[in-house]
Amino acid sequence: MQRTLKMVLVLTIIGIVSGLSLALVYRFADPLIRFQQLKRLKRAIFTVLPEAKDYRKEIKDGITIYRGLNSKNKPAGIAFEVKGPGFQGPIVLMVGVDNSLSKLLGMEVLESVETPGLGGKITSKEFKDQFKGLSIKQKITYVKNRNPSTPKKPGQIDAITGATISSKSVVNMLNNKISLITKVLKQN
Amino acid sequence: MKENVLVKDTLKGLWDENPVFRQLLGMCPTLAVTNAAIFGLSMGLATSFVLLCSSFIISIFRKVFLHEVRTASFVVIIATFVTIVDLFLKGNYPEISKALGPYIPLIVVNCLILARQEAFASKKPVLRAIADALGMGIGFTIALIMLGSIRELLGSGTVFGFRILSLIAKGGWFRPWGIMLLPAGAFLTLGTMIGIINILSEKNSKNRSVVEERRQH
Repeated sequence: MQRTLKMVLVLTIIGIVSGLSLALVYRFADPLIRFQQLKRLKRAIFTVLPEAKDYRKEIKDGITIYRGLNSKNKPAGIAFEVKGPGFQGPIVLMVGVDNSLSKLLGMEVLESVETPGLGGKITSKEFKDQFKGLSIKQKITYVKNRNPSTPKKPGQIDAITGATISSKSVVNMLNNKISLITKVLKQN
Repeated sequence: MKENVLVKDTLKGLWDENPVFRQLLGMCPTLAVTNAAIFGLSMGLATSFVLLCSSFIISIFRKVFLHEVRTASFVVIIATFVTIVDLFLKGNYPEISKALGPYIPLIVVNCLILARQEAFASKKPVLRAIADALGMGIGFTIALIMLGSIRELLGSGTVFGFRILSLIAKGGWFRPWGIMLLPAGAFLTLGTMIGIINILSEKNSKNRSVVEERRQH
């Protein structure tokens, strides 16, 4: 009996000490993590809206959009987050479209847990750059193992070799959200 | 003599008891994240930090842990340090934290760490436990960097992001071996490396026994 009590005591003490030290570390880490998240959000908005110098947050029908403003305080496109399921977990993107909603200005990955080195390449420059200037007048499509000499169709991107599901997820979630945003913005 | 023991404790982790190549411990991160050298390095350093801190604490309090609940105690302590590493990376190196994703929290279940606590830190004085953790950590990190470099080189033509082999798509000659980036590539690379290292150490021990024989004569 005494032995059991001792076990309970030892484990309780370890639990308390560990919990306290984690709470302490978290107090220092939390503002840092928030700061990094805000920095990443700002950086993402300015990457996907290359001409924007400032932005304004708006919420329309429960959808958050960031309206970019250029140095003369004129509209410089619209940025918004796109969320959807990836291969291993959710993917969150920041996407910029031009004012007339006819083409993408850029795409940035905010969060993803895709396989490093495969689906993880959705964060690579080669993949993201394909979305710069991509026409969204039609649905975006993807193509596997395109021969480099065949030209791309409008609104078409190259899927990542070995990560078709991740590429497909990105394309699908973009299509869904873009049509939703277009609908919401045209109503207003 | 004392220093000699510490040096021995450290060095054994690099070759004779290398956690990856000789003990086959911590296979999950070894196979999962080593498709690029930088991920191998980050995972190696994160694991080494956790190993070092847990070995230190557990060796200090080794008399306190009751035998029946020692595993539970070790795991809680290890988990505490893993969470600290996770928060640290999220706060300071969001890119790496993003890239390694779930594999940082999974260090908790890396059997290398628990095995070293069970076999070494919980039985030996603090300095020896630190020496052991240091050696194992460095050995683990080197092994992960080696695997990561080979897989990155053959799978993407780069090492630490620097282009070494020029790709066909960009006018070069090299067609990346896609399989090296997939889990199968991890098994192939690891198996080949363990084989090579076994051959090397067999030769080594033969040489050693020859030398010893001569000495005896």
